[in-house]
Amino acid sequence: MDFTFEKKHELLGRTVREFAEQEIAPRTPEIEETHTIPDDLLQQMAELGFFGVPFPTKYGGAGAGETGYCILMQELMKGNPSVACLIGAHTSIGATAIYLDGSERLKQKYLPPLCRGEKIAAFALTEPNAGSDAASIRLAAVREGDSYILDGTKIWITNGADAEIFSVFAVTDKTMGYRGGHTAFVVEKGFPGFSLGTIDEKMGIVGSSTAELVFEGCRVPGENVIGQVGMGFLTAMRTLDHGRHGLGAGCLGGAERVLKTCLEYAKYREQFGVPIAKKQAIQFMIADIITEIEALRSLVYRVAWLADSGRPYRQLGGICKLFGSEVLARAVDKAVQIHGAMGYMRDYPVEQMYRDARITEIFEGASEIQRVVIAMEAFRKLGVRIEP
Amino acid sequence: MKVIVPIKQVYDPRTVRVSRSRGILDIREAELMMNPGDRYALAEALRLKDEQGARVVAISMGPPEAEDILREALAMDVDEAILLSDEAFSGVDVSAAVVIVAKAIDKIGDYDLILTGCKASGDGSGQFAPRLAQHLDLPQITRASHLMVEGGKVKARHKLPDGYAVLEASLPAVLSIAEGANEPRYPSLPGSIAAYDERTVAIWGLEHLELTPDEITENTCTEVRGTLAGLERELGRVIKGEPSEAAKELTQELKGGGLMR
Repeated sequence: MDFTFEKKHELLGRTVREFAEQEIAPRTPEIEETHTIPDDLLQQMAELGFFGVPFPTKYGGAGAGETGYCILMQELMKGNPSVACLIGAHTSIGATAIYLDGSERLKQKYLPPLCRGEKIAAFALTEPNAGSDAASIRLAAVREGDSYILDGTKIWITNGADAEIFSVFAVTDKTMGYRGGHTAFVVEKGFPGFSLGTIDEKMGIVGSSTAELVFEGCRVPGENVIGQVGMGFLTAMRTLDHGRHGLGAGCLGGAERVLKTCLEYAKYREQFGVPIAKKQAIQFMIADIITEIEALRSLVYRVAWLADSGRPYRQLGGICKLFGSEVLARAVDKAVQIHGAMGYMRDYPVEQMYRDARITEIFEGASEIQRVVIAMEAFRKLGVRIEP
Repeated sequence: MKVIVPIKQVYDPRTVRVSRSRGILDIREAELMMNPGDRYALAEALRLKDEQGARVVAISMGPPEAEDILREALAMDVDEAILLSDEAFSGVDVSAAVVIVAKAIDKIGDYDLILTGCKASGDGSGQFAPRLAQHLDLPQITRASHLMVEGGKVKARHKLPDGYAVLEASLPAVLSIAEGANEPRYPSLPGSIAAYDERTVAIWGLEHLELTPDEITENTCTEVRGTLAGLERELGRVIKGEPSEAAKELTQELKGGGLMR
């Protein structure tokens, strides 16, 4: 057993860490104010290959695998969570749906510009009546000649306002339901009948866009079906399964940033004549954050290793996302407490960390769904089927 | 155009501890990195690659671990990387290093420019570029920026304490690139992976360079007799009170200390 990173991953990690520190973090006030990520920053990231890290080089990716991708997410989250979120939704769900189940032709057409960062991807599954219950989507896709006509709406789509390529899930056969009746499509922003609806204002990660997508007789060529007609629900689930450890990695980076902020603050903040670092109440909170970070680190990179070595990781990926988001939540909660009133003030970074962290327990499968999936898998191994 | 960039691996100063009692640098937990000053030389060479199609060769003399900074240079997009490594090279000083690197430069041959950093963050003698130019009998411009390569000549600004001089040299020439002359490059992420998965670093030892151990020892002229920790500076004193009174006190202090008459 060997817990060290390969040299190539060390170099990638050092590069992203320095880039995040020097180029991304200083832009945070601007991102918070404008609710968008500056184009020149995205351009610089595109040139350095931030948009296709896990994908094979033959599609224009870096070929860094899931380990490389987890390192990327961990370090980006330290720079700015909105930036991490944009790259995460683009890579691990938007483009991954095409990568996992798309035809070779579809991959050759769409993955290279996505990997080069010329276009941003998004994953469009959620609807007003289908959140955790993704099987209840209603967006209709009706076959017409060589095309499909899409009608309906998607909501709360991460990268919605920035993306040009969408992996969209629609109902092709109402009678069959999610087993055989759902189909995945690649939809381009420019397809007739596609438009953006409401762009949402959020509690945190305000630089990452969240939007409503409106399909009004939107014509999608039949060749843009991802995988097989009727198998869209499987594509959605496989894609989400694939993306979970990356989120865990982001939470790891987020928690590390929180810890660093707490350590620096406790070192100089004096109360009762001594730095609060000398107070056991503070030490206990910091020790708990460190302990959970180290447990999470082992988990994240164990899943990455499983994925890269072709072993099954589905259940552990869910555990990683669940544990990671809750480790981050506990860390930011303690951080506010350690910083006291300063932790509650807009002028200091802890307040933003607290707001930015909350979404990780909700998107890409809420904690409750992760728990259900983890339990389902445990019972399945005993031959007992429990359905959500 | 061919540009050779000698680079060096150094300890990351942020990870080196100073043991004042023993007068030594504690490097047990130290990490290795590319000398920060060399990044400016690489960035300048890569600019010449982008703008004028130059071929960029990075070379480094050091232990086998120094291969990592050459891979990093490959990830930044240099065309070729060569590590000069041999047991016989360990512990050499700047004058012997120049002999080794110059030999490698001769072997590479057919070059137009040699770009270096201004000084290494390790021993920081700042002598490498001038000694190399002397040894190769080439013109040199130290602390250079704003390079223009045209018609067999290089024109550059040579930084002075109170300004700069514009100097011109015929090619081939040795230039040490001033810190801040450009924006150092980040390795690209696909480049970082390819640097290890696909690219190669050539390793040249004593034999390949046609050097003898005697040539190395003969050219080593530095003898380290001991190391000392830098002097600890006492914190300054803030003179408080009314400005006119404080000024008086300051004047007296300076006079008393013989710093003012």
